[in-house]
Amino acid sequence: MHIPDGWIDLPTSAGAAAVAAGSVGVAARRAGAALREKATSLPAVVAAYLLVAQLLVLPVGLGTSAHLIGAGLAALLVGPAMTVVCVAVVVVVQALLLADGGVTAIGLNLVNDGIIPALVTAGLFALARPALRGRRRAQAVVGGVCAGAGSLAAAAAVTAEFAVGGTDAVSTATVAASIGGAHVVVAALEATLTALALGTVLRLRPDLVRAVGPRRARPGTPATVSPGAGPPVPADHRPARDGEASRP
Amino acid sequence: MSASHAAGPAPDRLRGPLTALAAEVKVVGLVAFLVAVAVTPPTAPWALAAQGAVAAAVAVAALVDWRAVTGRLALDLPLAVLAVAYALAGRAPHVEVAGLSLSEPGLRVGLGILVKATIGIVSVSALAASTSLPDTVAGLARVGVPAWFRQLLALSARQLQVLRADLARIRRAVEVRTASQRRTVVLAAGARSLGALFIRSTERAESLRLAAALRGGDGGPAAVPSGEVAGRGSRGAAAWAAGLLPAAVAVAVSVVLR
Repeated sequence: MHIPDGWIDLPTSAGAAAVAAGSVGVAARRAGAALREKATSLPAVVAAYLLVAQLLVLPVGLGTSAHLIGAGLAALLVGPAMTVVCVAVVVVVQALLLADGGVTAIGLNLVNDGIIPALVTAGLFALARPALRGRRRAQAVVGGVCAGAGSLAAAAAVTAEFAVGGTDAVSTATVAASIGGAHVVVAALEATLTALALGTVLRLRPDLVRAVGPRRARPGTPATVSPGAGPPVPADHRPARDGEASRP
Repeated sequence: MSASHAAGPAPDRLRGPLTALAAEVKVVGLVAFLVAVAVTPPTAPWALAAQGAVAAAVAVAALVDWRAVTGRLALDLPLAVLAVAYALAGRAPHVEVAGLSLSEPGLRVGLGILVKATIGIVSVSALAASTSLPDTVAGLARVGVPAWFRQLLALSARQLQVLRADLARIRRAVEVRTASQRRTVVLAAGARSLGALFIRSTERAESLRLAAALRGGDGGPAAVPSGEVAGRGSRGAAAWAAGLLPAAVAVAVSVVLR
């Protein structure tokens, strides 16, 4: 769920918007080559991927459903810088074209759904990575756990934002308890879904996962978009032409 | 995402008074209106009601499909839950409503958020009904949105349709081949199809890049729509006045009816 208009007061929203705008600027520069060279295919596809991933609503029982936030998964797959840029597109599309999340809360939503989970997930995974020594299954599980931690960090950020700029009609402790309680479940789901999705990519195309790729790659130049990189692709995994029906 | 944001021109888009306005006028007008609504304090219910009437009037002028609006109202559901929670858990003073003791400030804030979100849904539907996405992206160029961001926006909106269809196919295939109907198995299959979707979409990004290179470009995607698309709609002083009128009314009522 995105933060709607009126949940957080305007000074806090404006502050978050300033932080978000600055971060997108830094991220755009870091994701540099891919954006500057106008090779926006990959980030655009990732942004569309995040939007679609959030549409995949999974029933979890008790009449409720959950969906992936996806920033942690994206940070592992394409790196935090490009993730932040892509989530920026996602929250703008959601606020201005889908009316999901407030217009004045775009900055807050970018901080909570993009910057914080992306940085926490990628940072934790980078710390854990030497211990994994290239074992795929362990990488997927740890990646999932990192994404779960990223989602908990996002919940903490939401609570902090409410403490700073929320309404005084409801006590912060009540809101913190409800957000915290809900996010334990959300984080567990995020971890599970991320681990499974990441595991699939690691098994089929490990070269596409930036978090386990070569260490000293230039920021924002994923080896994946240069044709010829990566292992030979089986015939039925060749990219389908755009618009052509591709057999699953 | 609603079908009215499908890539390319929508031939079934009706021509109403709002279609005549340039896209950037409508986008700026929308953002200004929504900010004006957002800053209206929830202690001014009549101002919010008047702003809701303005949004409804604009939506009527934009010839929105009210069935599509109703579909989007699903986004209100979690906020309705939030409003109920605020009313129950909010601080004193309490009021009696239908035998329940509800917190007055909690009720007010919760309902305010709900009403603002509904106004947002109606206004966004008005933009979507009267403006095609290529027009919107081209319009953003004239209000100083950086080129890379516009390109990203246009291309991801186009990819969204493709990816949705892809995901539906992948999921169906995975579910058909998954023997068990148990919830955990279906959940795991859904998550794995997300992994498969990522592989497919990066492969598509590679093929887009190749296609662009073959066209003789610099490896980038096809240019953001420009030319006649960019020039559509009126953007004179009268158009700007009309576009900003809802925002002006929203500000006025929030001051007068406070």
